[in-house]
Amino acid sequence: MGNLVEYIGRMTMPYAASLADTASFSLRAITRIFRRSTYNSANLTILINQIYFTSVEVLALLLGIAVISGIVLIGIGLEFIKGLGFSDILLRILMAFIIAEVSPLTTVILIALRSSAAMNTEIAVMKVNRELAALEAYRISPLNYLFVPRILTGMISLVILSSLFALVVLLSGLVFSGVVFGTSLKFNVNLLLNATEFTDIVILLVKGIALGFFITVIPISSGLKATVELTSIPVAVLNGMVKVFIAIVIIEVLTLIPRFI
Amino acid sequence: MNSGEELGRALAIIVRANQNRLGMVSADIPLISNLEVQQNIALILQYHEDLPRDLAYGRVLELLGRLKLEGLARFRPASLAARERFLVMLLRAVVVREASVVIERPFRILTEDKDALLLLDVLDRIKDLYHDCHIYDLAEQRDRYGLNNGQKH
Repeated sequence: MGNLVEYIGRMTMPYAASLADTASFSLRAITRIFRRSTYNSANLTILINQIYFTSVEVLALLLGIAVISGIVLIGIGLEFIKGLGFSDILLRILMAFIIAEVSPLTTVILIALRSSAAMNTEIAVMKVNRELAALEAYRISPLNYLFVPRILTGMISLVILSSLFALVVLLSGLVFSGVVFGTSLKFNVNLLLNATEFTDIVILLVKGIALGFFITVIPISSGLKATVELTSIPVAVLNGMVKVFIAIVIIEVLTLIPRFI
Repeated sequence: MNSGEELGRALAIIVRANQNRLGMVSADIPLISNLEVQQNIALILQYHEDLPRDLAYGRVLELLGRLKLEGLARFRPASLAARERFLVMLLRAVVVREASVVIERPFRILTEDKDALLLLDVLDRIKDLYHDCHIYDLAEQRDRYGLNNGQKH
């Protein structure tokens, strides 16, 4: 029995330590985000650049996926639901699914694959090259200068891009439905608006903020675990991206809970 | 200094003493690789003095111009020659307000230079930009500075 407890302890300790590390780093980051003295011309420049790399460069791909999703989910899905008798409930489910589930999930997958991986590597490389130490030598806090702008970018981008994704899905679906099936645009808009609840929009925003926070905090904190050896870079990136995936799943599950309360 | 350890101890003392106005030039304090030359230098002005980006870049171009390096403003550190990298690191150090410039084993960066002529000449040309400057090196490099035994620069 003692051995079993010891074994379980030995297996879980690294995970608990890693979780505690990320939690402590998150707390420090949150404190800095709300501190006025964190912000200066240097990190505002970084913030603007990061928003460009994270949100603008990915826009064409995201909108392309949104249009295809719109055609499938709204364009074809709406006609299919109308064909069934109990369309009110199904429409409600469809709208909740698009706004609160598909939009943030698709956006976060795209941003995590692209920006989180890049961020993780960038921080690990900077650590290996002693560039973080160089910043500290010049009394530049890496947390203020590098990390806070990236975390803010994650949250801002996720909220804006998820909302945009949802909007484009609806619009492209409605246009497709009107052109292909000849359905009245006004009729379909009313149908979808009646099926939308304010809770869906709140969940979309909360999810955007939470996902945006964790898909930036985790890669940064993993990147910081790189040592001075080059071989530690892929290990840091690999660990970081696995944790990002786990965080996405946990947030998805947690945000489902309010629906059942 | 006779050994790396001794050098490390002496550096630690001066770093502690001048912490708030330290402008360090060392192979261990590299330029930020994903920033251009002008961004590397302007970063100090933007972060510590909250100077707007365009003003900071303007000031940096002026400084680069003094060493005839303005053509390097948009280059990344990886594409700089050893001398250019050293000069950019030096400019980054002198933009610290009331800078106390500490140069640690410069020949680790100036890999193609046989003596300290360039280093001493540049320090003289920009002496109005810093408050004081300290060069730390191992005793075995004495000849490169044109110093006799026991003489201090």
